[in-house]
Amino acid sequence: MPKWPQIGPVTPQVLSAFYTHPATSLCRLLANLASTSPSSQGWPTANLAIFSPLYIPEACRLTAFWWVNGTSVAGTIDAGVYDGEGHKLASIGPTTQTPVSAVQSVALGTPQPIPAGLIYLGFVCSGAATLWATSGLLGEPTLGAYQQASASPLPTTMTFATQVANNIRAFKMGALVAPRTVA
Amino acid sequence: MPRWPQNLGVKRDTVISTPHLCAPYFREFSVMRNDGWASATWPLANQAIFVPFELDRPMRVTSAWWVNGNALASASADIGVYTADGTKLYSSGAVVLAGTNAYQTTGLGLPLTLPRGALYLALAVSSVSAQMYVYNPSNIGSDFACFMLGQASAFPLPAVATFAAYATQRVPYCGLTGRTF
Repeated sequence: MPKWPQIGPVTPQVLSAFYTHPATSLCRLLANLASTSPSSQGWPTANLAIFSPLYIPEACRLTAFWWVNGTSVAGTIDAGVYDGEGHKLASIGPTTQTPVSAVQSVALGTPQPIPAGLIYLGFVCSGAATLWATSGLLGEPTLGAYQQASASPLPTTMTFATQVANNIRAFKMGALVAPRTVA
Repeated sequence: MPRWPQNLGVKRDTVISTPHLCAPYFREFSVMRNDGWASATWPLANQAIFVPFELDRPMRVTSAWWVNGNALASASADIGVYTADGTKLYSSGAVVLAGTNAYQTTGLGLPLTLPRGALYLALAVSSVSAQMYVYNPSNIGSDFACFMLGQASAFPLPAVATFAAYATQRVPYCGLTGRTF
């Protein structure tokens, strides 16, 4: 007899707010995302952190963070994971963004255990970076995401400041779940 | 009136197929629908492609399938399924491609019960000249969309996969099912 549930959502191998995976998404993206293909877009503001919520159906371990660089790179990117109360669990530290138009991934030194429930994936760019993203949305914080200014490297505790309109978009970035280590 | 729930709240898929395995990563976006599927050469001879998916409950499968393209090149395919850590649960072994522009199935022999959890559907083809039906993202905006992995020189499919990044990002049209297909 197995000790674990034999039915129910499974934590996928790749976490991302961008894709709204049905097992982890807390909200559906707005309709205008459906009509636009992703493109290379500038990070809203240097040193602005964006925290995107995900629901984790089963405890897991994060092995790495990934993102898709746009047509130009600048400065550093820091990526991390926070619990539902905004306490940082792990981050990679500022990492030089390279190369252009390619996936970049950075492994955590030690896989980070993640409890089931609400988490936030946090990303911050120190400069005028571009990444692949959807188009900006029209001013509603319906993604459930938050932002924090002057937050590079990612802070120990995140603030829950509402995203301003022009910052609301879904960047192509996320994390990998053990045993997966390849982005 | 039964005392217990008669609906477990989640859908039971009857066919595992790459279009719907990839759907969670394309959901809300039109790229997959707009760009469509087409016959295309296999990226590299003996290249294996691994497509991640999750089963929310155990599933019994009895046959595997893929869709051949315009040219078969006397090639063979090997289709299988792996655990998240790369351990092979099943593979068909080399099956000679037969029938252009057609579905091809192969029976598992004995039914296989896939466990609940994260898994990888795998397909390898022996020749770069063979054409298979694939979805071929046109740019990096739709590349890296399904989080597929690859392994070169992986025909027949190995007992333990050595997962590597898969740059070509062609999504092969294939799957598994426990139903008549």
